[in-house]
Amino acid sequence: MIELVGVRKTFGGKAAVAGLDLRIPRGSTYGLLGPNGAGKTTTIRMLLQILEPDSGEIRIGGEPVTRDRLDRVGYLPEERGVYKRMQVGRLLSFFAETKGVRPADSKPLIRQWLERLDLADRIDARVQELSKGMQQKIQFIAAILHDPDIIILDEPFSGLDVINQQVLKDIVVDLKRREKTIVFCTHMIDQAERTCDHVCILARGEKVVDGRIADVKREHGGTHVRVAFEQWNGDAVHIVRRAPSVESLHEHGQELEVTLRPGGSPHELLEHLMTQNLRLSTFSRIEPSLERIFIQRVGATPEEMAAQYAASAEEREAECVRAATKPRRSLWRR
Amino acid sequence: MATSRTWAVFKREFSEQVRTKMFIIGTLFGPVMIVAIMFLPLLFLRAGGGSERDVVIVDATHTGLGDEVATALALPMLAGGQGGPVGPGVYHTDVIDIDATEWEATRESLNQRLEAEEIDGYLYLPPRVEDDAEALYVGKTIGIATESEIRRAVQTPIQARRLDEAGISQEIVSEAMRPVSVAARKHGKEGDAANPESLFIFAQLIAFSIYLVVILYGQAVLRGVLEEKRDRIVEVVLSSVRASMLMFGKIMGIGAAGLLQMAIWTLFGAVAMTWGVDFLRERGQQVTDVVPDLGPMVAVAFLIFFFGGFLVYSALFAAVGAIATTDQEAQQLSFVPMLPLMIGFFMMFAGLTDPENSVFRMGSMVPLTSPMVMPVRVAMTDVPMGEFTLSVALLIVTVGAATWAAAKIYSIGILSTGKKPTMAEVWRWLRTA
Repeated sequence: MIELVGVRKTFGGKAAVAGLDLRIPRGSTYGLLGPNGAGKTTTIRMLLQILEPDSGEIRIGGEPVTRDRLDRVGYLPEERGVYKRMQVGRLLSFFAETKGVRPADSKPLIRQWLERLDLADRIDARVQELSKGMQQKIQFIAAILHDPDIIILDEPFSGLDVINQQVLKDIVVDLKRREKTIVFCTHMIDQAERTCDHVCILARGEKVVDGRIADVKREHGGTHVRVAFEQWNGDAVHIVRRAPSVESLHEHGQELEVTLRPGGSPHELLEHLMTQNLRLSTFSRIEPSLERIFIQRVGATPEEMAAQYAASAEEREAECVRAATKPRRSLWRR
Repeated sequence: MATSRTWAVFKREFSEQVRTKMFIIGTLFGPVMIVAIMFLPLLFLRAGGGSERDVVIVDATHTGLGDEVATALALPMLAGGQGGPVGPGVYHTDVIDIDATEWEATRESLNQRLEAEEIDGYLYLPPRVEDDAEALYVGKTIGIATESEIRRAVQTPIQARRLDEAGISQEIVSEAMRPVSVAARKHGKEGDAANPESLFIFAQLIAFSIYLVVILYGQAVLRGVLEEKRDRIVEVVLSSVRASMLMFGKIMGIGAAGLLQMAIWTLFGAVAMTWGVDFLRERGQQVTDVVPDLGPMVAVAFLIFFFGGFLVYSALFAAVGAIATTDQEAQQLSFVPMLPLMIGFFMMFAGLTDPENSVFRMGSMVPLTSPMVMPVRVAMTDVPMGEFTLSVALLIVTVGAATWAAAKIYSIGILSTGKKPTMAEVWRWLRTA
C-alpha cells in the first residue's frame, strides 16, 4: 500500500500538488488520471524522492519512503532516455545495479528479458545503433528488470509505436497476474478506464475523485438510465421528463439518456413509467464514463484543461525551476 | 544500500570513460603531446638555427680583418657563446679585399647576386672599422641569432687586436676570460640533489599534467551531465540515486579514469627516462639525472593539489553542465571555470623564472589557482609550512563549498529543461535549503 497524506508541492507560488491524500492498494492497477498539468508527474516524482514535498507524508507499506524501499519500485518516466553510447547489456546491468541488484544476479535476468522481447542478439550492440522501437523496449526492461513490487508508468504509451504498445500491454497484463502494484499515470482517461481497477482523477493539483472504478462511478457519476419506447412520440418523452426522480435527460435519436436526481433509483422511475402505461422497449441502467465524471466535477473537458495548461507552458517551465528553488522557510525556522 | 548505488554510478562512469577512443588515444599519445608542447618551440628554433648560409665578406680595411672574421664565423661555437639556447648556423664565407672607393660598385653586384639567390648575405668591413666606422651586414633574412653571430664574429678579432695594441697577449686574455663554473642547487636537500634545469622541466611537467587532466576530465564531467540532461536519462537515474550522489559518483568515476591515465603516463615516463638515460650513458654521453630527487613533500603536494584541483573544477564543470541546456551554452559557460584555470597556469610560468615572484606566491594561496601553482612552488623553493598548510586548508574549504554549491545547482538544474536559467535563478537554487 502506498499512502500519501496531505502532500503538497508549490512551484513559484502555484500549487502543483495541493494537499493530496491517496491510497494505492497493494496489488491494484491504479490509474492516476488527469489532463496535462494536473500534477501527476510531480506526485510521482515526490513519491520517488526526486522532488521533496513542501509538506505532507508519503509512506510505502506503512513506513516512510527510503531509498532501500525504492529499490522495490520500477519507474518508466514520461521523459525516458538511455545512455546512447553504452552497450545494451552493460546499460541494463547498470540500471539493475542502481536498484541494488548485483551484476552477477542481473545477468540471467537481462538475457531472459532480451530474449522475450526479441533482442537477444543485440546484447553487445550500442544503444544508438538500435531502432527507436528497440530503444523503447530497452527502456521497459530497464524499468522492470529488478522485478519490482511497484511499477510506475508515466504516460507509458506516449510516443510508442503500435507494436510496442502491445508489447507493453502484454507485460502489464503479466505483471498484474503476478499481483504487482501498477500505477498508471496518464491523461488518456478512457484508456485507463479499461485497464485499471482503481483510479484517482486529478485536476489543478487537487483530487477530484478516487477509489475503485465501480465505486467512483456509482458514487460520483449519479445514476443514469437509458430508455426507449416501442413507439417513439413526444408525449412519452414529456412523461419521462416530468417523472419525479428525473433530473435531466438527453435525446439520442430514438433513445433517452436519463440522469436521475440524487437519491433517485431506477426502480422508482420504472414503477412510475409503468403506472403511466408507457410501453418500453429498453430500460437499462448505464454507467457514466470517467471522462463524463471528470466533466461533471471539474466543469471542463480534460482537453480544454490541457489546452489552458499548454498556453501557460512557458511560464510553467520557469515556475518548475522556481518551485524547486524556493527557499523553504519552515526548514530555516526549524 | 546508498553506497552500492553510488558505486554503480562510479563504475559506469569509470568503465565508460576508459572505453572511449579519446582515453585510449590520450593514454598512448598524451606523453608525446605534453613533451611536444613543452619542447616544440625549442625544437623549431634549433632546427631553424642549423641552416647554412653563403656569406661574402667584403674587406676594405687592408689589414686582413676579413679573413679573421671568416675564421670566427666558421667556428662551431664562439667564445662566450656557450650555454646559449640557439645553435650557430653554418657559414660558408668568401672574402674579397677591395678598396673603399670600389664599395659602391661591389655593393651593386652583391645586391644582384643576393636577388638571384646566389648568396644569402654579405658583410662589409669599411676602413677604420676598428675605430668608429660601422660594419654592415645585408642578408636575405635577418634573425636575432644571425645578427648576434655576425656581431660576435666581427667583434672577436677586433677586440683581440685592441688588446694586442695595448700589449696584452692573447694567452693572458683567454686565461682571464676562462669561464668560472657556478653550480646552482636548491637549498634544503642534503648534497646536490636537484639541478635547476631538470627541476625546471620537472616542475613544468607537473603543472602541465595537472592542467591537462583537470581540463580534459572536468569537461568530461560537463559532457556527462549535459548528456544525462539533454537525453532525458537523468529522471530514471534519479529515481534510484540521489542527485548529489549521482554527481559524486560521476566526478569520482571520471576522476579515477583521469588518475589511471596519469599513472600510466608516469609509468611510461619513468621507463622511458631510465631507458633513455641508460642509452645515452652507454654511448658515453654526460647525462645529469633527469628526474630530480625532490623528496616526499613534492609528491604529497602534487597528490593533494591534484585531487583538490580536480574536485573543485569538476564540481564547477558539473554545475555548468546542469545549468546549460545545449552544447553551445555549455561551451559558452565553461569559460567560467576555464578562466581561473588558465590564470593559474600562467602564474606558474611567472614562478618558473622567479620562484619568489609575488604573483606566483599569491597564486599558490588562492584556492582556484593553487592546484597549478603550489606543487610547482614546492618543487622550486622551500615553502614555509604555515603557508603550505593555509593553502591546503583554503583548498579543502573551497572543495567543500564548490561541491555543495554544485550539488545544489545540479540537483535542481538537471531537472529543469527548456530555457536557460538566469543568474538570479541560479542564485535562488543555491539558497534553496
